Amino acid sequence: MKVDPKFQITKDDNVTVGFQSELMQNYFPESAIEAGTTIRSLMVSPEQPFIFCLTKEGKLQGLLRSEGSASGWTQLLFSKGKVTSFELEYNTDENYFQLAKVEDNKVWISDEISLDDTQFKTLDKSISWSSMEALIPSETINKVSIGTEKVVFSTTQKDKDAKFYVADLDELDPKPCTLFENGMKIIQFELGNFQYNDGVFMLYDIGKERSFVFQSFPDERYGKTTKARFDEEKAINCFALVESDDTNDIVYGAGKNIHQYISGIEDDEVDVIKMPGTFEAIKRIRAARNGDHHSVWSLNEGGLHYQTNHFFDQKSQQFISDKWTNPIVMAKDAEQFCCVKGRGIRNQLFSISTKYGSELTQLWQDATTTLWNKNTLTIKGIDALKEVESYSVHIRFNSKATKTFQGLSVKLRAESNLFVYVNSKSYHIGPDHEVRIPLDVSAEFTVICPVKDIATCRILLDADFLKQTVAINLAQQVLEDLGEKITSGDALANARKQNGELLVTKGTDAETLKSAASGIQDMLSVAKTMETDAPMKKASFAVGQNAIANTQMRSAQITKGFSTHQGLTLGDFLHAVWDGAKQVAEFVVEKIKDGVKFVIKIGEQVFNWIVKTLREIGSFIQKIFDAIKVFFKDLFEFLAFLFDWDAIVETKNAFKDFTNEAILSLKGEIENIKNFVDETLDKEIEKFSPDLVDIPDSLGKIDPSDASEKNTADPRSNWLNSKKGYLNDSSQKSLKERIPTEFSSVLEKFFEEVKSILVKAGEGIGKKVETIVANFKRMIAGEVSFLDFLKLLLNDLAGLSLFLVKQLMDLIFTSLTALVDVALVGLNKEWQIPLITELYKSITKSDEFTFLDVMCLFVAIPTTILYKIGEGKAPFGEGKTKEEFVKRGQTIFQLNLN
Amino acid sequence: MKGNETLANYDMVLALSQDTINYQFSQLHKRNIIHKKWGVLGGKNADDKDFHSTDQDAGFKQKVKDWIAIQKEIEKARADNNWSEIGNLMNRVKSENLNFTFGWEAVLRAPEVHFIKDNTKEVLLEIGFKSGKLYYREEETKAVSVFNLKNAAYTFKVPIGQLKVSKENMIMDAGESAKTVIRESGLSDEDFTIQSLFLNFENANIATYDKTKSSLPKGSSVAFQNAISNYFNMTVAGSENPYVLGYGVQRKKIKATEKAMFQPTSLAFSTSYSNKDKKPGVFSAFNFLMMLNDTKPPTTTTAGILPKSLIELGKDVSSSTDGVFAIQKEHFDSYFDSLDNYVEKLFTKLDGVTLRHGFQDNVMVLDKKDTHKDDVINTKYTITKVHVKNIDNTGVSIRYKIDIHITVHVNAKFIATVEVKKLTLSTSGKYTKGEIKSKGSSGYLDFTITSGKTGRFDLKHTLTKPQIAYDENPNYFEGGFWKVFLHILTLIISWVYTIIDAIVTQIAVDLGKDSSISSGKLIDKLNDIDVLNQTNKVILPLGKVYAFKNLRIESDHDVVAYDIAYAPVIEK
Repeated sequence: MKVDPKFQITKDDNVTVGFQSELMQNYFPESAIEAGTTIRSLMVSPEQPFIFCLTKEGKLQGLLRSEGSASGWTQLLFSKGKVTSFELEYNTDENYFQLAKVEDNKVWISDEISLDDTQFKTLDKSISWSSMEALIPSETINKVSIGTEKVVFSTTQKDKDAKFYVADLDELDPKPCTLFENGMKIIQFELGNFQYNDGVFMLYDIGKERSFVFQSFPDERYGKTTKARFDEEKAINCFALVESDDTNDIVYGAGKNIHQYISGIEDDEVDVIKMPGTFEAIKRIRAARNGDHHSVWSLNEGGLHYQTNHFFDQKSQQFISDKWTNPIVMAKDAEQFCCVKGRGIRNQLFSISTKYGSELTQLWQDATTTLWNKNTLTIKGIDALKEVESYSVHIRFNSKATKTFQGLSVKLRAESNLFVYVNSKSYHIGPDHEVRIPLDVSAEFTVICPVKDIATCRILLDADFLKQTVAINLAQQVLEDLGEKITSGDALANARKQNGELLVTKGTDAETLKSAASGIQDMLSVAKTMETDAPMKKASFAVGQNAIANTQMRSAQITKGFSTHQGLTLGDFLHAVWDGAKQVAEFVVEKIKDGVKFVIKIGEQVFNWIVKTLREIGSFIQKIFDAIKVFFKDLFEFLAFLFDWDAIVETKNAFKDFTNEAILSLKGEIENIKNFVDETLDKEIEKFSPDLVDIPDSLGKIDPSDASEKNTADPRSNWLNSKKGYLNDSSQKSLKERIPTEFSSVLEKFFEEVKSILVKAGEGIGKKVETIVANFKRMIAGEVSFLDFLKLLLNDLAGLSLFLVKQLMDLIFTSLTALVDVALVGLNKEWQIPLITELYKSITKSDEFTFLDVMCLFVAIPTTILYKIGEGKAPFGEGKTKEEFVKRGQTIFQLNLN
Repeated sequence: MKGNETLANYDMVLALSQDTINYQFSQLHKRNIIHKKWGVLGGKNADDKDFHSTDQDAGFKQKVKDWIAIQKEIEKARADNNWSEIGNLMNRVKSENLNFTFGWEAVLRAPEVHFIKDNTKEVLLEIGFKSGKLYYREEETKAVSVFNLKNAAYTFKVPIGQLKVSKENMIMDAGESAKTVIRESGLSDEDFTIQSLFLNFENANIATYDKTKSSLPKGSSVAFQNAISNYFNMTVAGSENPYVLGYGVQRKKIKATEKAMFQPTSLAFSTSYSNKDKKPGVFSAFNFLMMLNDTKPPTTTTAGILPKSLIELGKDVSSSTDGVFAIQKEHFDSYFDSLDNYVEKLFTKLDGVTLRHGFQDNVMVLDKKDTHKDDVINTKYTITKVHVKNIDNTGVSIRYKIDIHITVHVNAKFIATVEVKKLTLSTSGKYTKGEIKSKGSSGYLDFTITSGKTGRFDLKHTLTKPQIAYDENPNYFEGGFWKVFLHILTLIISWVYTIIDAIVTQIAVDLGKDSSISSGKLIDKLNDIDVLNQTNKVILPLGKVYAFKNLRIESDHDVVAYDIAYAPVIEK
């Protein structure tokens, strides 16, 4: 909607920003993406990965990162049936990619998909495929690989050597080629370039051995090919190719070791580097490159290993590019994976582990802090419910000016890269990634930042109507709470979680706790320094379990590990090394010009990093807790706002019973009310004081439709409001259609008849009737009490001719009678609302979620939360209150006129 | 045809196709590993001696310019009859060392070799010009004539028959570390690389310029052509300069390999021209002629002249392969012999089994004698090597038939032992009764050899269990005897199968059920079994440079042959 700028809020309107961030549970109507074998990925724009993998049924699916969509990922299907192999090729020169797949024993090649002007979200519809087959029908096509000019596929045939076919992408006329050895089955093959020749890299079994070779395409003049064999002492099990700048592919072959092969320029030799690390047999390897930065991921029984030539030199605090780090385990369980490199999200890894439900998991490294983050890829699913631990911040802009925020927007950034939900939509925000959030009249939004530890950074708000950037430290409350609660070792030992259990296992060494508590306090003061630029003393402390360790043993362990962990970034270190170091870590923290310098000493190994955001500090605090076996789960139970679903359901049940009672009583009272109204229309309206119906004070004050007008922002009470996006989801039926038909038919009839009254009453009444209708809807929805509705009604209609009002009232009462007849049936009918239904079912373990439940829950959530925040206990904590409340339902419509 | 005829008295021959050699040259050229640019200036120095400089020398380009400029001035001075100026200029020519008679600056095409029909001892090495200029000064006082070198070619004749590499001179040439390797293993794989081949072709000591096969720029005079010939014959002979023909190439470094079972100890070269299917490039071969076991190479005039190109025997002559490797079957038989030895050991290792005689005319016989109380059971194993033949898919099958003949002497002891009854069971027995439920049948031990990686073999085996049955109808046995015999029968059956099971287990242990390669420990333990040494080690030489496929016996030619691919190993 276009708003005239002169009615919009500006910088001069003294806008205040209210916000509150809470560590709390949150819920999304999302389900994890399950995947079968093989993952490939491509960056379709600088920070937008497009992932291709098979579904568990073997179909080819594409998962597109979609900023601003519900889960952040859009799922697309690219096959009807099972796909046995697929590959994608990105043409860097012309900026398009092509997919190749094997389906139905045919090879299918997609058209060229331009990165510049393709609507990727609808690629499943716009993509077109061409196919080709092997020469002999009894050949089974088992693999396909696609290049920028050619496509190759391999076939197997009983008791015959494996074969492969080469076809030009322009012609798709496959020509058979033989292997130069007697290989029966090609295990892996990929089109590539080696020593300035295009060809195929192949891995096949020959006899009982595995052979890794390159074979070029025949040249035109002599019809001959270049062949080479990559051979190491230990067999090569798998390989990966990365395009270099001079057309040659950089080849990684992996078995027990990983070797990197780079063709010499104007040189016959191939530069072979044996990379650091010895492994149990590597099953899969992938490599990625961003400029000169290479990273290699290798998978074996021990987990998924990561190593990079982006070697972080501790001395200079700079990266060196020609030195490889030792491999570190980044994920213990993964069976299939792929990786991409980017800028803000420096490394991204997508993996599947069938052990844990084949969920597609994303592991990524933030370029700013170098910290690693892990999350599960999800797609929107109305029948699904995903619980996440999050920092949720409710932000509201206020101004006394009689102007609107409508049509304005806020720019949201973060000090380090984060994946967040804003108004239920997923976004990537970071130092170089801002999101524009449009505002409407209410000028508020909720940012939910899912976390796996207590660390997070500040988010930054900018807007034309703001005089300066607003920085919100998502973890502020948590850090404050920690500062207050963990004052000493004793305090730590006696700290209890919200369920009453001790935070730290009983019997944990007192000295250890003492050092942990002082470490936490030191870290907190570092955090304060960072945020406020306050001065800071140089601090040092130790963290760890066995404060008095056997010196001899310690040094022995260290010499072994000394050289191995050099070159790691802080993020790598915290993710992969810290947990493995079963020793005391000593910290020296010192403020320097452009950040805070951390010197960490584990045994003889000394590391130092300069830390620049609060997020790293949070990670350190988390690690200190980890060291005393207090994990994020515990901290969450200790610090987070926990939805007391039992209390909420209790409140809801009370509302529900109340309503059911009320409806029953209403039936008998309608005639009385009607008479009363008739009489009253001639009397004073004031008689209908709301005090006549006595609802508990604290409850009566709450108007759920009004939550946004509260002065203080609070993500907790606003929780339901923040989920309203799901109700108006375009992929769903309209709200009206989702209301049980019993109600909608009554409403329809009502509206029809109102119309005829309107015609009689003329234009003047139009506006008033709109309010009546709106309020009638609200009453049905349980948002407004019957009495309030009546009050409103009579107020609004006061000026109208009595005749018409009477007619209108007749209509209303007729409708009410009809409504009551269907109410008991309709209200108790199941209703499906995205997220809420699933959430409700999971909380109550019940199957039915009725219209009435919905309505009552909408009231119950903020009611309970605010009541609890205010009173310290749930509204219906004691059975008696509830009973009394329900009983009142029987009399709510009784017009106690005496 | 006998194997020594097929291979012209050499033990092994590796035949590399002309197209492959030229393709590889073109690759070296394309990748600038051999130089593309070539410049030469030739003339007389101050002492009136022949001298030349090349574009490897500093200031070459300037020299060419200066020379052309000064000759122009001389010519002009002569036209003007300005003799003093001519004298000055001539002095400058001398003092500045610009007394050239010819020269060129050119961009070269990839060198190409051509094998010659009915000439197995020489190859033509053609150096083609993509572009460039040729300079010639006819007379001292004339300007330099400039010819376009586009599409011109110089051709050299390389008498490869003179090239010989023996283990001894290899060792002499090799560096310290390589010496032991060569001493132990014979020739190094490096000798079989394209780079070595090129160096051989380019070998300045033997190459001669062939004017008749060269095509020089149009218009260049006979005198000039002679000058070029002289230049080449003068400079090429006796020069060790790797850039002598314009290209500079380094020997490719290949890591030393394990010693192969068939390790060459000497190397000579020849060619075989073939016009099969009118594709001389595909079928003409450059032959690496090899001898085994330090045997002296043949010296007859026909040695190394193969009756026809080995590539004509190729099974796969597609772009994937580069030629054919063949070894005289007589030599390869030693591999089969070792397999016989292995089978012999399998049986003699069994408890109580004695060898009557090893393989004679493909038959081996073993005995086993057992007693049960007074009864004697004699078992005779007859192992017959049924065939060694090619199998359809790329390998050789060797089949051993196992026949068993058991004689049971049922004895009774009175004063002396008296044979009550004798009966026999065998793999050809027809009668069944009781526990023996099916007719007799021979057992088979089948081995399949296919070529593996880097000159190794892959040996697969299957065992078909033998079945024994009665040779005469046991239903005619009288009841009392049958009762006694039943006890023995149970034993016999269990013996037969115990033995078979033992063989199965042994082979599985020896060759590895799934991976013979990885079972290194077992191989060490069973080191005495020759065949294992060979199945798990390198059989064929040059595995670091060539890949072998399609192992087969070429009976008509009495050789064992493979298709080969030039696939150098890349390793750390």
